[in-house]
Amino acid sequence: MSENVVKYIENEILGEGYYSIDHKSGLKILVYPKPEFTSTYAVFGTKYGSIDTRFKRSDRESFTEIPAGTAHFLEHKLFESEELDAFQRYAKTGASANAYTSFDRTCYLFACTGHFKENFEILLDFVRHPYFTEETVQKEQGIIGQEIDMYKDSPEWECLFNLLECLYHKHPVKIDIAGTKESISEITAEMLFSCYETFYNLSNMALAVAGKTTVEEVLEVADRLLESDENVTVQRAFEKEDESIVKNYAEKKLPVGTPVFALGYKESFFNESCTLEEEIAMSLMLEIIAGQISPLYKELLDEGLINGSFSTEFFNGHNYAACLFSGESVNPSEVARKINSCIKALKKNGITEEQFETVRKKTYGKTVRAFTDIDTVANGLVVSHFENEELFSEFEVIKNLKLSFVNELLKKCFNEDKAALSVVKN
Amino acid sequence: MKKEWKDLPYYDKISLNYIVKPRKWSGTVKYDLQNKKISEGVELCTVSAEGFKTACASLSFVMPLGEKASLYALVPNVLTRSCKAYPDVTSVEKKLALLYGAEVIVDVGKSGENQVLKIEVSCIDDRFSIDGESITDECLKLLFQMIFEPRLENGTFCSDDVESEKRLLAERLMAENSDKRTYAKNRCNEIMFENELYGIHRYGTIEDIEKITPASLFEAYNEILQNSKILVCVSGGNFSNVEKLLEEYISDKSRNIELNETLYVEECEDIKYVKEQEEVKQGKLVMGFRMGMKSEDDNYAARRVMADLFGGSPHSKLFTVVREKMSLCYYCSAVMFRQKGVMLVQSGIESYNEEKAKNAILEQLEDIKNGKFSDDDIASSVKSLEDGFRSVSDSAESVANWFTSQVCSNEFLYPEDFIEQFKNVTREDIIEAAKAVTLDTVFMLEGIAEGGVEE
Repeated sequence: MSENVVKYIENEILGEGYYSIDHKSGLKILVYPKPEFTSTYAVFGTKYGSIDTRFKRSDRESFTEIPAGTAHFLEHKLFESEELDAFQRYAKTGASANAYTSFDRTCYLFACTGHFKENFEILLDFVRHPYFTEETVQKEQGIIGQEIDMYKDSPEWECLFNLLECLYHKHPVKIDIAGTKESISEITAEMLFSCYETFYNLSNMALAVAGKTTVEEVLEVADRLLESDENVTVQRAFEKEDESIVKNYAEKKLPVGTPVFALGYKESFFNESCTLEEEIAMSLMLEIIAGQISPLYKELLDEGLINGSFSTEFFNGHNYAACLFSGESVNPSEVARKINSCIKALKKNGITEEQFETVRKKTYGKTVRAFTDIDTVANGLVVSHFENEELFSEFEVIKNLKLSFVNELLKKCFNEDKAALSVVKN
Repeated sequence: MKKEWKDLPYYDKISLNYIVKPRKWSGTVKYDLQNKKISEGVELCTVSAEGFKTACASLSFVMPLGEKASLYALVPNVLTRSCKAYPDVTSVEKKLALLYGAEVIVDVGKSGENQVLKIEVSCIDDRFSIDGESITDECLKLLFQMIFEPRLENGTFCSDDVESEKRLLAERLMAENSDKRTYAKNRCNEIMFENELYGIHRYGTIEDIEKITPASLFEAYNEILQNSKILVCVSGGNFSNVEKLLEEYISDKSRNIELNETLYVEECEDIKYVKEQEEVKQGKLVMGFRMGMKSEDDNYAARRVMADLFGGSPHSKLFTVVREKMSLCYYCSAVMFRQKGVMLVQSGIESYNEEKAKNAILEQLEDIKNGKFSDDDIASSVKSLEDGFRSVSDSAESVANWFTSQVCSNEFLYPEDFIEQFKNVTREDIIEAAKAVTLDTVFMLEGIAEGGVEE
């Protein structure tokens, strides 16, 4: 491509829109100007997360396997350079910068209220110029080792991963995002360079800017700094995951006041990953089953079985999906039993029109609200691009969702035989 | 947009403290603040602005921090659980869902040695209403119904509501003990302020929560109505009825306000040291410092810039030296508490590195006292503070928070007022501010799991 292709996508409800740009370098750039804002938020992400431990490049014959925690390790190392590291550079302009690694992506971000162009140049520069040596890689093993330990002391984090161990036989989603002390000890500088070359190819990345900015200023910097990469694509490969679960209960000892629990139903109604319609339908369903407006929530609260930490989540991504109920309880098994029998009754009777319309209205409000934060907007742009969705399609899906669709989906989900309970207690 | 587990990822390179730090505020003021005294001790603060997608209304009660902390902390929780018009959790939640997912937020906190009880309702702006109803006015009505028309039986709070909320509050306190980072911070506070009111936890104690009865709570509620300082704040939206409602509900009550004057201890004489052991992998080291302040305005700007340079942001000494260069910890940061004139350094370390980490942290402070920092360091800290303060104006909630957090101050200041002061801070001011800092308390939570064994 020799020219940038710019498209403007508008939403009537919000009275706002964003530019979707196929940049000549091969990168997708998304710009959501909000002139009334004082801050600007930018995020540069790659579709490379902790679950990408097995993959094939388009120019190679065979699959490559890498140790758990490599994506997160690489994220740490990219901040370094031969001279000033990225944080020292940002310090001069006053931006607040960060990065994160999740199951399916790695993102570098900053927020600022001034010097946008300088900050943006730093972001594009350090993400595009990896620098590390065997020595600096070794030092990082110490820092990340500490980080893994810190998460091991977090009851919620431990509880979630113990649950995922119960639900998944092979899928790498069950392994801590940072890996283990053992797995990260296998990481070498050479391995990091090779992963960088594979996943940090511009065709596998996305760049989003939201807030006080213009499409012209973003493109001015991007045109100047971004050069095309070799034409390489990457194919993710997951071992086939059985529909069954590994075991239905896990328990771990940690010093906690009230026991922490997570109940999960492994779902397999989808094909590779869920559609947006399925995702929204599942979230509505969870709200109806155990949200604060549900009779079940009141019952659990009145009987002293849950507290303010109780929540539900439709947890899903590439080749995995699960309905989660988590929180703190003096009697997690009783909570699980009650949730299960409530779901059985709901499956039998179906969701009513009134329940459906009430949570639909709430979901619409939450969706509007999400557009208040430029960080949510910018990250949302990157995520929806990686999932081949358009940012505003959520409004349409909520508007057009049919109760019959939700009730049909309900029948396929929440199989009692595919549920597991994870508990962390004293 | 989706908020899922995958959006709760590993945040890196910056201590978690830094991430949760609110960072929204203003450059060119696009909002307008009007404050008005409604009656003795009752103030209304109206933030008007165009364009916010959300709106919020809050009411804050300020009471002296003391032995009734648990009682006062429970009141807003019971008030928001149900009310006369919506007699249980389910009906309150349904009302909120129909108001397009409006949210009720209870915030119990400390402002110096006073306790602030804030109840806020936040909603989307009226222009997004599908059926044309006024969302903001309905939310305001709900806020006042919850606060002033509680659900009662036999002239007092209902025992089922009280018992349930007692349990929830006690479990929240227990959860703070389970989270070792918070636990260590709380313990350091308790030890450091053993003989000061500030040492009282904002929720009081589990024992005091357990003693509460519907009658004692109802008495506390009436005390709050009569004796608290009240600030009502509405931000964004179109809250056309606020003054009328306020006059209906509050203006005729005679009020007797007595708040605490916060004690500022300028210097520490004997360093307190407490060590505890627990089965945790990562040790937690917390150090409490006195900053030499006589009041919240006593040379605040210089001290704030110094604290930032010391351990407030990623270019700070604690981050660049103790974490990055020495690899001693995953997080290490300093937070200043202006309304008490103190600073806390928190870090997560391998337990056997305690001495090394402690010395390294104190050395960084010494370096600042000796002027070992560059002009670039000063500029970076001022910029980062400025950046944070400016983005306040980006949402209705953050502007409202900015002003309600000043409920105990004599006048409302804008973010810009502080930015000007930060810009005028000199190298000498920072050295002076650092010289006034003394170590008061060290609390160490030692891990006795495998992470604590010397390698």
